[in-house]
Amino acid sequence: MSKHVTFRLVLVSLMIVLPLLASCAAPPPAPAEPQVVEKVVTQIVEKQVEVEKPVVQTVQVEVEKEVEKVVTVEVPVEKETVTIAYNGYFEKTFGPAAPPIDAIKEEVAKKYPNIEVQLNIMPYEAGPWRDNYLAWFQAEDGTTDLIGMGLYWLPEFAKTGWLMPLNDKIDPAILAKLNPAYLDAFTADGELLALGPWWGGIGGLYYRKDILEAAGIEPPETYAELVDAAKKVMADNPEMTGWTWGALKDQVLVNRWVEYLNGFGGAYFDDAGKCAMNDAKGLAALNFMKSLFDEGITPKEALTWKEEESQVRFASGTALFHTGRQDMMFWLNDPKQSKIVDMWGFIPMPAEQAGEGAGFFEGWGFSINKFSDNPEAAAKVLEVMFDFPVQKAFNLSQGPVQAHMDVYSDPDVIKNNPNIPLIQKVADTAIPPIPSPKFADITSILSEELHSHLTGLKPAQQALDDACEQIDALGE
Amino acid sequence: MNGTAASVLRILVFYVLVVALLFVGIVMLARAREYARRRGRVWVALVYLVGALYVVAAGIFVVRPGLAIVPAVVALAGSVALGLGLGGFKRFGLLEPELALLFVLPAVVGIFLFYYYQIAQTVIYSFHDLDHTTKWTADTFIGLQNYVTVFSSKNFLSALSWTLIFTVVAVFLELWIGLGMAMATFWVARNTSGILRSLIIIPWAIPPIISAAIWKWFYNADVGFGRLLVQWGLLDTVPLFLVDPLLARFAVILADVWKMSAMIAILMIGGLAVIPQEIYDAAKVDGARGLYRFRRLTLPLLAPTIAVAVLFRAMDAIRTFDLIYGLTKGGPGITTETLSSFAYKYYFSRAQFGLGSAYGVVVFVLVLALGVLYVSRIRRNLRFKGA
Repeated sequence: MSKHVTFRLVLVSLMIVLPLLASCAAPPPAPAEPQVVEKVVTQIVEKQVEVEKPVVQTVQVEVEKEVEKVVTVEVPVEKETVTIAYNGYFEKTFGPAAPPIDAIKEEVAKKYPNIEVQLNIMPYEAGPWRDNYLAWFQAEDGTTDLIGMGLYWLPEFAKTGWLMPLNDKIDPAILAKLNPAYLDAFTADGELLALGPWWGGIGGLYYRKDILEAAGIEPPETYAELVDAAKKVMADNPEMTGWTWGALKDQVLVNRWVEYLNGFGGAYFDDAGKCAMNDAKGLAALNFMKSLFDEGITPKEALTWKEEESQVRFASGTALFHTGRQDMMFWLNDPKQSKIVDMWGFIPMPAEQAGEGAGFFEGWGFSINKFSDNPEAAAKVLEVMFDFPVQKAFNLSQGPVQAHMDVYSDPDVIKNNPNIPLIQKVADTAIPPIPSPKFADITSILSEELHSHLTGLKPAQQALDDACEQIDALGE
Repeated sequence: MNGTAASVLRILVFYVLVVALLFVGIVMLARAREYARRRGRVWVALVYLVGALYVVAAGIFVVRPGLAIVPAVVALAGSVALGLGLGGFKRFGLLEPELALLFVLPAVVGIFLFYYYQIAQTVIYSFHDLDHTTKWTADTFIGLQNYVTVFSSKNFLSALSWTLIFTVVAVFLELWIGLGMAMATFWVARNTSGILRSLIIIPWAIPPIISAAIWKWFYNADVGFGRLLVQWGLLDTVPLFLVDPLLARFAVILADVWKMSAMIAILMIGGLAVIPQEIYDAAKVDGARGLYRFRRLTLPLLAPTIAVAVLFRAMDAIRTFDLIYGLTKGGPGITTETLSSFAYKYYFSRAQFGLGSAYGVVVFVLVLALGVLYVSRIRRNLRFKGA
C-alpha cells in the first residue's frame, strides 16, 4: 500500500472516529461564571454643621465614595425533580382537602423550594400497575423516585432488592410518630422498605340497616346468620340481591378468598411451608363460596365483577349485604351516587364461628426506587408525605387509614370522619395479604383455580389441589 | 433542555451515527469487493472476511452489546481501508444501488434494533431460568427445560386449542362478513358509499382495550343486551355471557368479529375495486344471475386478495391478547386464555422471564409459519397480477 493511500486511510479513519468519540462524551455542566460588576456606592452620612445661630442642626449630605468593584458569583439553585408513581386517586379528592398530590406539592414547596414534585400516573388495576414496576426495575430505570407500594408487593420486591432501605434515610422524629405496627408490616428482614400506609383499605361487611331492622334481624356475625337473613329478606323481596362481592378472575377474588379462608379457620401454609389451602377448612371455605352462587344469595354475574360493579349494586339499594372496604362510606353517604344514604351499617366480616371474621387489609405505602436518580430528594419528599400536615390532608381527602398516629386526634379529622368508631371495629379484624415473595404468582394461580370451581369447570377439591400443587412448585 | 429531551436527542444522534457509519462501511466494502475481483482471490477473501466481521458484531451485540464495539470498529476500519486502499478516491459520487442503500438503511437498522434484537433476546431468555431478572448467565442456563414445561402444561394445551379454535372461527366469520360489507359499498349509490366505508372503519379504529370495555357493558347482566332480551320477553333469565364457559367463548369471538371484520372489508374493497366492470357487464349480457356472477366471477378474481386477507388476519388472531384480556381476563377459569395471554402472564404477572419467553417463542413460531405462507401467497399474488 502506497504512502499516499495510507495517509488517506488515516485521514478518513480519523474523520470517522473523532465524531464518534466526541458524541460519546457528555458535555460537562458549565461552571458558574463570576460576574464583575462595577458599582457606585452612594453612602448617606450624617454631618453636624455649625450655623450662625448657636444651634446645632443636623443635615444630610450625600458623599460619593470611590468607585469600587464588587464581585458577585451567581450560584444557581439546583432544581431537583422527584417523581411519584401512583394511580389516578392521587389526583382526586373525596373530602374537604386538596387531592393528595396537591397537598404534597404545597408542603414540599414550603419546605424545599428547590424540589419539584411530579406524578407519574399508574393504572388503577394493581396488576398492570405492578407490570410497570417490573419493566422499570429490569431496565434499572431511575426516572421515578418514589413508588406507590402495595403491602402485598413488599415481600416480592424485598427479595429482589429493588427498594432502598429507609432505616437511615428518614428522620427518626418522623418515624416515631408513625404507628409501629404499620412500620413492621412494611419491614422485611430488619429493613424498613416503605413508609405506609398513606391510605389503607380494610374489608368489612356493609348491610342495610333499615331492612334488617324492619325484619327484626340482628346484623350477622356468622355465615349461617347471614345466609338466613338474606334468604328471609329475599323471600319477601325477590328483586333484592342477598350478598354482593367482586369475584372476577383477578386479585379481587383472592382478596375475598383470604377472608373466607380465615372465616373457616384455614391457613395459607402449614408449618413446613407447604400450601395448606386445600385442607378441609379450605375446602369448606370454597364450598361455601360456591353455595352462595348456587343458592342465589350472590348473583352469578358477580363472577365478572370487580369491586366497583359490586359497590354499584349495593349503592343502588338492591342488595342486602356487601363486602367492601371502609372507603366506600364516602360514596354511600353521597346522595348523588347512593340511594341508601344513612341506611347502612358497617361491621366486621362474619365467619363460621362468631367473632372470628377477618377483613382483608390492603395498605399502600411509598418506597424509594433503588435506582432513583434523586434518592436524597426523594427521602425529603417522603418525610414530608408522612409528616402530620400531609397525613392529615390525606385523611381529609381520601379517608383513613394513615400511619401518623396524631391524625386521629385532630379535630378536623374527627369532624370529617364520624364513622371512625365503625372503622376501628373492622380494623381490629384486619388480616395481612398472603406473606410470600411469590404473591403475584400465588394470586394468579388462586384466581384461576378458584374461578374455575366457581364457574363449574372443576370440583372444589381438584381446584384447590391444583392450586396447591402449582404454589408448592413455585418454591421460595 | 430537560432530561427527557436530552435523552431523546442523544438516542437520535447515536442512531444517525450508527446508520452513517454502517453506510460508509457497507459502501466501502462493496466497492472493495468490486476492486478486489480484479486483484485476485486473496483480496476477495479478505473482503468477505471483513464482511463476516459485521455479522459477528451483530451476533455479539445480541449477546453482549458492549463487546460488539470491537468487531464493529475493526469491520468498519477494514472496510474503509480496503475500499480506499484498493480503489483510492476513484469515485466520490454514489451509484444508484448505493443511494438506495442510503434510503433503506435507516429502516433496516431500526428494524434490527427494535424487532430482531428483541426476538433474539427472547430466544436467549427462553433457554434460561430467569425469575425477576433478565440478567442471564451460564448458571441460569437450563437448555430446553422451559419448553418442556410449556408443552407438558395442561393449561398450555387448553390455551393452544382455544387459540386455534378462536382463530379459525373468528377469521371465517370475519371473512364473510367483511366481504359482505365490502360488496355493500359497491351496491349503494356512489355518494353514500363513502359514508358507508367510513362507518365500516369505525370498529377497527377503536383501540382493542376500549372495544373490550364496550363489549363488557354489552354483556353486562344488569344493563346489557341480555337484560333487553328478558325485557322483550324472549328469555326468562339473563344469559351470563362472561360466566358460562361456552357463552364466554362465543362472546369473545363475537367481539373480535365485530371489530376485525372491518379490516377484512377494507382489504376486500381494494380487491373488488380492481376487478374490471366490463367482466360483469359481459356476464350480465350472457344471462348470468347475481349469485352465479358472485361464485364464478367475484370469488375467483378475489381469491388472491382473500388468501392474503385471511392469512394476515390469522396471524393477528393467533396473537390476540388485549381484547380477550380486557373482556374476560382469560376466564371463566382459563377457558378463554390464549397463547399470548399465557406469555403475558408468565412474563409480566409472574416475572418468570425465561418461561414467559418460551411461551412467546412458541407463539412466534406459529405466527412465523403463517408469515412464511403469507409471503409466499403475496409472491404468487404479484405474479398473478403480472407484476
